Amino acid sequence: MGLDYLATVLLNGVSFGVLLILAALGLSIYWALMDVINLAHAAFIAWGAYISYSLMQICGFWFALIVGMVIMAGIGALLYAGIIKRIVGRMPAHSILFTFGIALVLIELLKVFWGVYPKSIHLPQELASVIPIGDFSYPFYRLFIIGVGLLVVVGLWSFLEKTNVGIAVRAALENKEIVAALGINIPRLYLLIFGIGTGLAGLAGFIAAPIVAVDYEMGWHFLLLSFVLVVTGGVGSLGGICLAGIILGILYAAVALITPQLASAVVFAAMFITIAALPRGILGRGM
Amino acid sequence: MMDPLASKKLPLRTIGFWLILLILLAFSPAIVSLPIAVDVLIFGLLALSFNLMFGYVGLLSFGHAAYFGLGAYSAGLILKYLDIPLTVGWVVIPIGALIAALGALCIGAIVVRRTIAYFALGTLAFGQVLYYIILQLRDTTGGSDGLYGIPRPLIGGIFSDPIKLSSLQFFYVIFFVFIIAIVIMRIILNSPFGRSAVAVRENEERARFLGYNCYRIKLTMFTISGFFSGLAGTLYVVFNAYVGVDSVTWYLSGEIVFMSLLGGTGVFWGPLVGAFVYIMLKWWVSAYIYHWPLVVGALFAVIVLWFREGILGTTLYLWRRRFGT
Repeated sequence: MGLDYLATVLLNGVSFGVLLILAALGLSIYWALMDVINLAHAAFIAWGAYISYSLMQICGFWFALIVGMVIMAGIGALLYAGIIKRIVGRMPAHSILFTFGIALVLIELLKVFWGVYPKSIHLPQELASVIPIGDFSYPFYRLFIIGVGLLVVVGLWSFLEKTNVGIAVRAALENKEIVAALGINIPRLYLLIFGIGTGLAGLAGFIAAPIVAVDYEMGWHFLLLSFVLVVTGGVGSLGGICLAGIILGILYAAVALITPQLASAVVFAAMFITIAALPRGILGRGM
Repeated sequence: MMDPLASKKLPLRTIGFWLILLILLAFSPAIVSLPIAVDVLIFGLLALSFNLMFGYVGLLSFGHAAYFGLGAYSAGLILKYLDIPLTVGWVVIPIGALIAALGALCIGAIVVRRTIAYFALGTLAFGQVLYYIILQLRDTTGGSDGLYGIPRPLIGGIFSDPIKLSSLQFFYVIFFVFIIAIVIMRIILNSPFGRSAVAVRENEERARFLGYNCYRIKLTMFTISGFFSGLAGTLYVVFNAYVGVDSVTWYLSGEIVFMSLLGGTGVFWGPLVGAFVYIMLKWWVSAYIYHWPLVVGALFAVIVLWFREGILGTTLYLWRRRFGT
């Protein structure tokens, strides 16, 4: 068990954590802003992977990455405007049940369009290489995932902190009535946020695809682990989610080395401990 | 102050209702087929126990399959690995249910304190933990293949040789346990404790001002709910001599919620009606429609938006409007 071994576990953990962070960001914002607990997010993650998979057949990885994310954001916005907005403002139990129904339909549609067999995504040359870490050779792609995550988190942070729309979002988190009274169009704000969240879910699904199997079940696994991040990080806390993602990702990778099946169980156990001890998340900033 | 319902004598209508229900259920193997009748009883009991939480306390347990699975797996493991004589094998039914209740108590103690959303996600997560543990302990639980070769309990054995029950006789054992279980549920719900649970659902703050310990009420009801779910699980194992890992997944949890919503969560009998309709639908429709979850998912959304009272709730509403009682 050398240092390079430790580095491998850490990098595996952080890259997996980053995938979860990308999936969890949307969930957390919907929950904090609209009080919607969106199980349909599971379907968005899987749809992102499948749509980008199909795009890759036409025109390569990078194009699929960007366009897939934009398409997913569009689908998310459409679904929000068409269906999901009806559930905003209802009881959390209703939003869970409603979005669960939507998720079942969307995931079944995956089977209708793409069949039930898992797909595999082949990386382009520049990402498929390995880099040496001590005695190990480490896949470059996982470092790429960490890079993408960093980019997204910094981008989202500057959007929330520096732009006028972001300031409106943060204000709406505190008090929607006053923000609406100031002339901000709250429904349009929700639409935008839903689009961003769905786009990120699609991105998470796609960049996860080369290291996990692309099948219609993949979304559920990610969704449940992302909820753990949201709860342990504190609902609506960007910093909390990132910290929780990195800690839980490393925990997951470390346990997965010994017993792969129990890795998820340990992560869920961590959630129970947080719910019991720190209901507002590890940074204490959640809602 | 007297409880208005307890002071009344049993009206004729109640007796008639129970008689009709008992006769319908007792002859259900002849009306529908035996496997469907068993499924209706077992999953009906499961949905009814889920509704103790959702309908009466207002907390959505989104991982209720966990307690079903806990009861089923503990009963199955005891029957398979502990060398108890099969004539006393029936004790796994209460034991499995108690283990499920214990599981509900432990998880409930953590998640019942928090908001509805945390409760739903926490229960869902517990179901997943159990699922992964069962997969991990492949050598004892059979992992993803499920637990096979569970012996069925036998009757008699003191003065004569033990008798093997036929499937139809097993149905009546399940029927008997089912009736006892729902009578106990009714008694609990009509007790002062059951009423206080409704008070917590309607207005938790006010219930607390009146001196009720809301945390304890919710936790107790959740434990009771877990007990009856576990009971359903043990009945499933005793009948099928098999339990698969899919009986602890979120999909079964979703089905439980769906049955309850379909039948109506505002009425005690709603989930049973829902279980019956759902199982019949699944039996008939899934033969013609390959993508069955499309139907379930769409119905889920429609029910939550426009049909919140469910089949039984809506029927009762229409009945009252028509006949005024």
